[in-house]
This record gives sequence, C-alpha cells and structure tokens, in this order.
Amino acid sequence: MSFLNSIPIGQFVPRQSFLHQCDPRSKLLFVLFFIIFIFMANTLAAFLFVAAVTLLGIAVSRIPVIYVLRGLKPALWIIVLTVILQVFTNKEGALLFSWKFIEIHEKGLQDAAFVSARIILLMLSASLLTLTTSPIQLTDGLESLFSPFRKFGFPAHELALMMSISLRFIPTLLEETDKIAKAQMSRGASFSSGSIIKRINGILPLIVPLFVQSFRRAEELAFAMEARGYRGGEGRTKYRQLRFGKRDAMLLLITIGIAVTVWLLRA
Amino acid sequence: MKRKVRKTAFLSLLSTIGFLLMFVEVPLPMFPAFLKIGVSEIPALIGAILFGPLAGMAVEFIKNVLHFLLTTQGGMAVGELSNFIAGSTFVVVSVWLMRMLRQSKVNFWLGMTAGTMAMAFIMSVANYFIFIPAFAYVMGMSVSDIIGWSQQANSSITSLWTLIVYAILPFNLIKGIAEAVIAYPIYSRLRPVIQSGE
Repeated sequence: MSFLNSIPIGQFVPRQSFLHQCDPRSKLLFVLFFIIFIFMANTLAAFLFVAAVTLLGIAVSRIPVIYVLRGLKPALWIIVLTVILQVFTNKEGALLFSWKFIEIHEKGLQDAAFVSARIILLMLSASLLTLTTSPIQLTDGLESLFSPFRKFGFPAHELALMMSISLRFIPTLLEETDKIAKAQMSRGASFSSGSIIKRINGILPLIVPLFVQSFRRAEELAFAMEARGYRGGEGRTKYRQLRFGKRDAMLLLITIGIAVTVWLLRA
Repeated sequence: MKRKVRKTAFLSLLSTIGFLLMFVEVPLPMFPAFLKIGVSEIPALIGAILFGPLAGMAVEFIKNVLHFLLTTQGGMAVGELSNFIAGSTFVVVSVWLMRMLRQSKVNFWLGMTAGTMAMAFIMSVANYFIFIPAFAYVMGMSVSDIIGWSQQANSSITSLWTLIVYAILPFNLIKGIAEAVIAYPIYSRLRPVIQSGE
C-alpha cells in the first residue's frame, strides 16, 4: 500500500537539550506566547529580534537543521501565494519593474519579504514544540493545562486518556490495514486505479474490516481496563509525573525578557 | 461504570481510524488545493451513533489534535481547527436528528442532509468572521484585497458574502454529500456489528 508508507507520522526527535528537558506545560505556554510576540513585532528591529530568538531556540534544541526545514515544506505553497499576491497587487512605493500589465513596486517586494518571513517564523516556532516534545508528554501537558476546566464539565482526563490510547494504536491499526489490504489484493482487489467511484468502492472492503477489527480490539481493551480496576480519573496515580523545575523557571524568565524587549522595540 | 470504560476504549480506537483516514483525501477540481474532501468523518459518525453526539465530537477533537501533534501539515493548526468545526457540526447535527427519529434508511439520509446543511452554514459563518479575516491578517493584506483578487477569477464576487456563497458554501455542500455517500454503505455494513455490540 503506497499511501501507508507515505503517511508522515511523528516529528519528535529525541535529544538531550535544555528544550527537551523542560516541562511540556511550560513549553506549550511559551510557544503560545511566542506566537503572539511574533505578531506584535511590527518594526524591523523587533522582527529581527524574534527571528534571532527562534534561530537560537533551534540551535539550543540540538535538532538537525534538515528536520526543521522539512517542517517548512507544507508552508511552501502559502509562501509562494503570499509572494505572488503581494508583488503583483501592491501598487505602493517606487515602480521598480514594468512589463506590459505587470508592475512591481518597492512596497510590494518589502511586504512580500516581511510576510513570508513571518509565516516561516510562525511555522518554525510551532514545529520547535513538536520536535522537542514527545506526543505522550504533550498529551500529559495538555491534560494538566486543561484540568481547571473540569469544573465546567470539560472531560480533560478522559480526552487525554483517549488520546494516549489512540496514539498507541496508530502503528497497530496501520499494520492491520496493511494486512487487510494484502488479503484483499490476494483476492484480486485493486485500490489505486479506475474512476473515483471505482476507488470509493475499492476503499469499502478495506474500511469495513478495519472497523470490525478495531471494535474487537476496543472490546478487549475495555475488559483489560476493567480487570485492572480502572475507575476514571479520580485518585488515579501517574507513572510519568510532571514537575515544574529550575529549567521551567528559566524559560519563564526568558519569556518575560522576550516580551519586554519586543515591547520596547516595537513602534 | 462498565459502559463508561467501553466508551473510552471504543472512542479511542475510532479516533485512531479517523486520524488514519485523514490521509485519504482528494482535492476537488475547480476549488483551491487546501479544500479537500475526505472520509475521516465516518468514525466520528459511528462513534456518535453508538454513544451520542458529544462522543462524536470527542472523536473529532482527538483526531485533529493527533493530526496537529504528529504531522508536518503546517504548524498553525488552521486546517485542524476548521476540520474540527466542520466535522463536529456535521456529526452532532446529523446524529442528533437521527436519534430523535426511528432508525431507518430514510432517517439516515434525513440526518445527513441536515448535517450537511448545518456544516455549510456554520463554515460560512466561521469563514466570514474568523478564517478569511485571519488569513488576510497573516498574509498582510486587507479583506478587500482578497475580494478584488477573487473577482478576477469570478466576476460575480463583489463582497465577502458573495465570495463565501460562491466558494465556501458549495464546497461544504459537496463535501457533506460526498461524506454521506461514502458513509452510507459503510454504516449499513457495520450495522449488524454495532447492534450486536450494544
């Protein structure tokens, strides 16, 4: 199955670094604030500052540059679109180039450069989070950050548990799908040819057994959970404990520092 | 209590299927490349039929968070957010209606129709107030720039509402219909399994 191998799952790159060892909660909050800072930076000096912080973050994380760049690939079309729109529709500033109906103005080039640089920074800072934090840690962090909302009926614990189970079953179900696909192909099914309607019909013998298998697995899982006395989130202890440590205090100070600097540099 | 544990296990597995199905998607001809139709709403739909509309919403939520955490499809979560809003509306409205009525073939399609219409409506409103203005803001343009630009492609587009009526609304209607057409044979084949599991 070609599409199974092409699924780009997982970005986390295990390393020993300051960012890897921070608590996932402080990293989540840091990235959230940093994205706001990127939007606040409206002067060249402020923008260069947030750009420098992003690059420093990548350097500190010890993640190979190639992994970071790979995360930018999906943003490519949006950057190309921005550049085209800005360059050809912005009619402010000195005229730099004109040929028939195409006119390129100074402001258009400037804005195109600024906007695409900002999109790149946004993508880099968000992917820095997923590159340095494993999905399980992120799930734990999200559960903890959202647990105050449990008072209002938000099922933070249940959602986090379902997310971890779901995460754990991705490779299992991928393998299952592969097996089903091979079984169907050995009976003469083809998945990648024919019209759209034929392809949809081809998906059916793949999806229906996948659902049936998953239901069986879910049933077994439910029995196993019951047998081990799972009773919901109340009073449940955790194998992985989240701790707010020295590094997180440092990250907090860094966040405040960035906020003050951006505030001073902006117009 | 037993039912709650079963619900947790079933919804987790359904979310995994939903996440995997998010990679099976086809871009529609004549629409921008980021508008794609897929089959990833089906697990949420089945979860909702089994455990109620809110359970379907939970599946939509987990599937999109996983997609955001695990893939490199753009770090900004805009695609995931819009998929969550669209999918939840579709699933919640259609299953809510289906549960009010007797289980039958006609009522399944009735629910799907209501879900599709609700999704098209909510996505139009969300695009008007959130996505298009946010997109313009990130791109450093004004909303009128986008309208002017789309006007060159289709001269009937003169305002943000007409842009939505010509682009967002038909896309979501097609998406809902496609989803329903694919969901029906899967649902009808799974019905014996679902009923025996109840």
